[in-house]
Amino acid sequence: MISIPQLLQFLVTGITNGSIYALIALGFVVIYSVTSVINFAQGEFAMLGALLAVSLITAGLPQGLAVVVAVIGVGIFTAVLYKVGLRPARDASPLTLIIITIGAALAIRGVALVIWGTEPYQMAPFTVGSPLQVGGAVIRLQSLWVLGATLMLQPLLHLFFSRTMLGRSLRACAVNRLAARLMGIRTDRMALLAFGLSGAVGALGGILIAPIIFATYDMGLMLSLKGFVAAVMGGLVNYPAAVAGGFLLGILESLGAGLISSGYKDAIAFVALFLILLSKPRWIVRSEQEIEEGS
Amino acid sequence: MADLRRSVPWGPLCLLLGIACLPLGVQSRYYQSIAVIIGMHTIAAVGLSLLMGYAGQVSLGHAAFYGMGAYLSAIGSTTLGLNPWLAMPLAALVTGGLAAAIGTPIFRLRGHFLAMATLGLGIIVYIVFNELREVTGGPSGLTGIPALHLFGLPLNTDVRYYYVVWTFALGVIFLSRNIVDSRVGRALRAIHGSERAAAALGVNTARYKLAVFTLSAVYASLAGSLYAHYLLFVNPPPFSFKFSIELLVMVMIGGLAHIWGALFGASLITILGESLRATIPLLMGHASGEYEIIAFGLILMTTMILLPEGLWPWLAAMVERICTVSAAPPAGRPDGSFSPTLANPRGEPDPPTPLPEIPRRPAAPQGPLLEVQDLSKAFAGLQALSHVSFTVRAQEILAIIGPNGAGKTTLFNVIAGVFPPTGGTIRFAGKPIQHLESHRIASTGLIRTFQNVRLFGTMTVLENVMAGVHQRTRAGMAAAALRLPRERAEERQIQDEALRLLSTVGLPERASVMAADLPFGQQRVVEVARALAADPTILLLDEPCAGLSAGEREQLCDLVRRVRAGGVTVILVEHDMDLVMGLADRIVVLNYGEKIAEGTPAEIQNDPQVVAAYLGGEVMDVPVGGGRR
Repeated sequence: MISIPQLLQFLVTGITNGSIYALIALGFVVIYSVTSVINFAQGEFAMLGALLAVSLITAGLPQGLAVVVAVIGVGIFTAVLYKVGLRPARDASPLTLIIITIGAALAIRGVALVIWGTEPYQMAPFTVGSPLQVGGAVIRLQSLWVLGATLMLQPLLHLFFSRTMLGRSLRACAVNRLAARLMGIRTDRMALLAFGLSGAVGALGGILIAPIIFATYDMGLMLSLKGFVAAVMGGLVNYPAAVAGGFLLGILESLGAGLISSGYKDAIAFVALFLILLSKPRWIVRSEQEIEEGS
Repeated sequence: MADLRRSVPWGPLCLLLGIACLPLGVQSRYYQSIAVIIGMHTIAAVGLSLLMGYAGQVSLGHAAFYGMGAYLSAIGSTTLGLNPWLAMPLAALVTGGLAAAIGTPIFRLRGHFLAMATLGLGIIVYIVFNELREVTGGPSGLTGIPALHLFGLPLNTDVRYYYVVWTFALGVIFLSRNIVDSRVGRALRAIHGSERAAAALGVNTARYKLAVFTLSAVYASLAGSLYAHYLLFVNPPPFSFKFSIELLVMVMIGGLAHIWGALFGASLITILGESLRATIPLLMGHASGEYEIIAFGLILMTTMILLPEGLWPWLAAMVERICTVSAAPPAGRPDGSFSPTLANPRGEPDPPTPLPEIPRRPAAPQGPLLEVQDLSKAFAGLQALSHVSFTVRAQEILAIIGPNGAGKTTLFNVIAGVFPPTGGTIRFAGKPIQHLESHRIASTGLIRTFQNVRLFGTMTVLENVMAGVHQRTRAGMAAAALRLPRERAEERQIQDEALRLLSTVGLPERASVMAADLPFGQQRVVEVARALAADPTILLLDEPCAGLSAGEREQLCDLVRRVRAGGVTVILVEHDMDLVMGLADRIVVLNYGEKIAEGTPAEIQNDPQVVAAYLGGEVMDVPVGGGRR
């Protein structure tokens, strides 16, 4: 039997990890809803953000500035990636596009390997201080940063999408791209923006956990997959649900690792993915019909 | 088709000779081992090519099956003490069984969901390799795997192993080529072209997808087993996600629908990967690392963007162009020019050797053939059809008309089994069919066409029509792979039937043109021919004249009349009043999902409700016979 503090500790770990999945999932949702592309390179943006920020700090930039520069830099990089990688093939099948993003993910990871090598990097925590003790569980201050940022981003995105013209245009693309184009929205530019935005969100996610886990060039793959699972849990087009999916996945994983076996921790996400996909919720049937109509 | 097959395949023969002689020219053990590995990769890539290129189903987790083949063979020949030659097929059997079991639920998914599910499968299996230590040895793997022996000769040198692996590889290529060029292959490519259209011809799409997935898993397992008995050691890293992607790159480079392309892709990527692994660390000064992924990633991206058909077909086309520039253009080749007329009906060409015809369906009973009763369909709150009832008599032409959004196509889709009705019954020859799947409905003799023509674009016109004969014929995957005489005979019958139908619709000279290259009007006609190939009792035509010119419409109407004269009942959805008035025996009018009138063209024309629905109350001045043009 496990004790209450242990259980609490699992929850804390789960929520911390879940926040990162949530941020990656948000990136998936932004891109998928605006462009119908499943962007497999999503996790690589987190990796790039983390490693870039670490390098900038090492180069002498203050931490806050380094974070901002890294987030914006990855955002711009992602937009460029759309421009050179996906835009030329935008009329291709969804499958071709997903394969292009897999190619992009591999190439990015390879280049990161050349630049940063295989060794792990760690960033200093955002705030220095001893961990909190709550009910026998240890909470690192950085975990609070991670959780806080994820929760803060939620209303910010909401404001952006509901109150600004740009955000509304993005939503219009998500609802019906053709109609949006007919209304004078430059859907292509919106896709560029969606990629940039999701790159920035992904980078932020990577930076936030860099002080907790060691950042390595190959951390992107698992983050991509888990973020995708979280996004699928939330229905793939729903922002708050994607965040909830991230938390749920994080908690499931940490409980699974603690109660069953840590070796199978990574399998939990995929078993969950299977169960969701195979139960075929209504939204999957719907988007599959769209695929079928498009073919 | 048949004549092409009989010509001497110089390309494959040269390749065969090259493969046979390669070890004589290569003395370095390193290069020999690469040649062995290429053979294994080819086996796995050919399977994936069948799955992705022909059936159009993606798998991002094929390394799992390769790994399972390796592990199961290793466990069988060490822990269980089996003869390796027995362990290998057992491994393939277990892997295939697992693929079939997992494939059943997975292949209900499409597009990127399928991609992600297979990817997840690959990662779960990889985790199991690492974690199931008692069985797999965990991260340190299994050692002491016995080598293969053939006639008492240990296959412990690269050259010996090379011949064994390549015998398997060429065998797999041979079988796969046969499958592709058969009834089964056409069904797979039809699924790729349009799953819905394939089902509408009676292709059990779920079964075929599962079968080809299982076959590709068996190939991968075989390749993995060969790998295990070659290295005599297995551990998890070679079977990671990265290897799934490598296989994907091989297939993509090879061009999706090209079996030989898989060999090309496997060779290119294996050699490239090996040379990069050897050279980059020297350049970088780092000890090691998976630097080759940069190249793979960039290759994958650029191929998909610039040459989505793959590098191999592009190269093959280049070579062909160079060769044909010097030679005179072959005679009898379709010139590719499109006549504006739809068809120029010719007399039936007399077949050179009469073959026994493919059996037809028993003639339909007289009287009511299709009874639609109280049929309703709602989509998330939208009532597309409500309580529609009508009866179709044998050998009549019934038209369903109505303004835009009246529910005509929905009615068709419900009858054809695309989605089940929310209420009501449909009886065909007395039997309820409303809950059957599309392909089952098709096999009862209800065959449809589509509003937006759904030909299989990458298949020739002849192959499209041959695909229509699918449900009247039987040859399965094994018969096709082995080219059994009965399968060949059936194949000739199918081709004969398809050619006959192309003559009937007046397009015999278009047989070898790619369907996608046909002008739209002819595509419509080919789609009707394809439907006729399925020997329909009832032919459902969904706006057959949409997008056709006046002359083409006239010819299509004529074709429909001839089809009916041949004993087929025709139901058509149509927008064009004139056309319907001149063609149909009876008309059913829908408006907002309800039937508002039914009767002869004359009755319908004078029905005030119909007039109101169509013209908003104005009087209609369309004479019977559609003489407005």
